[in-house]
Amino acid sequence: AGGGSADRDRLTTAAHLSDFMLQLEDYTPLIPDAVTAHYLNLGGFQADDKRIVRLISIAAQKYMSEIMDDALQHSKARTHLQTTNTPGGSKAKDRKFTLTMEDLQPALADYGINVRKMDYSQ
Amino acid sequence: MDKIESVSTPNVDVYRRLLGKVISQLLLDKGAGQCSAQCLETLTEMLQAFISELGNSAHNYCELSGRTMATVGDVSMALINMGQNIGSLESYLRREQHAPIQLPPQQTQQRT
Repeated sequence: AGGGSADRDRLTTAAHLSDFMLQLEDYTPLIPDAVTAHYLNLGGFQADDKRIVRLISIAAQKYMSEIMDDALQHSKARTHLQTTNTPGGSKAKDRKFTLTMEDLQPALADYGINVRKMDYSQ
Repeated sequence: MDKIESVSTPNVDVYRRLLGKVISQLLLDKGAGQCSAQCLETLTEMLQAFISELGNSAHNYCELSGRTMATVGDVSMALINMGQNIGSLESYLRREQHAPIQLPPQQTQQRT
């Protein structure tokens, strides 16, 4: 019974993916196709279907998007903490955030990526 | 006397600069108006490494099955191997709408 449900899961995933591939036809990802194709070709990857390239573009875009969301969340938490700790300090009226390594580093650490700056680098 | 303006960003790698543009656009859409240069460079490098690594992995899966042209299956195997969730891609597609980045105009040299 356990194997049957696993098979069904796999089949629904496959059907899901083929539906998704049809949608990719008229969705243009943020990364241009030519750029993704260039970096894929560096590793010897070749695909005649441009939807495959778009699938990779979207996966990369989503990955970066998640990291940025986490980093900005860190930034928001930090600035909120600072403004509440300093009474009479500048109110965080501007909704523009500045992303720095200070926020990116803990966000990347959650993904298991260790960013370390060399001692001599600026 | 003609004064030639110096170009701040050298025209080293067009593809790399486009990736930087992608990262900047993503950050802008998320509400981060500013970003340190080191941060932008780290994110650009990560994006480039992700695409290269995914291509490498998918190519290896493809060659393992005795083919030269990669299929969707190879890419999905590579994505799973990298710990990415394929099922959530569709919801991301519906949620996020960005204006695509235009490629720089190609210059055609006229032969006389």
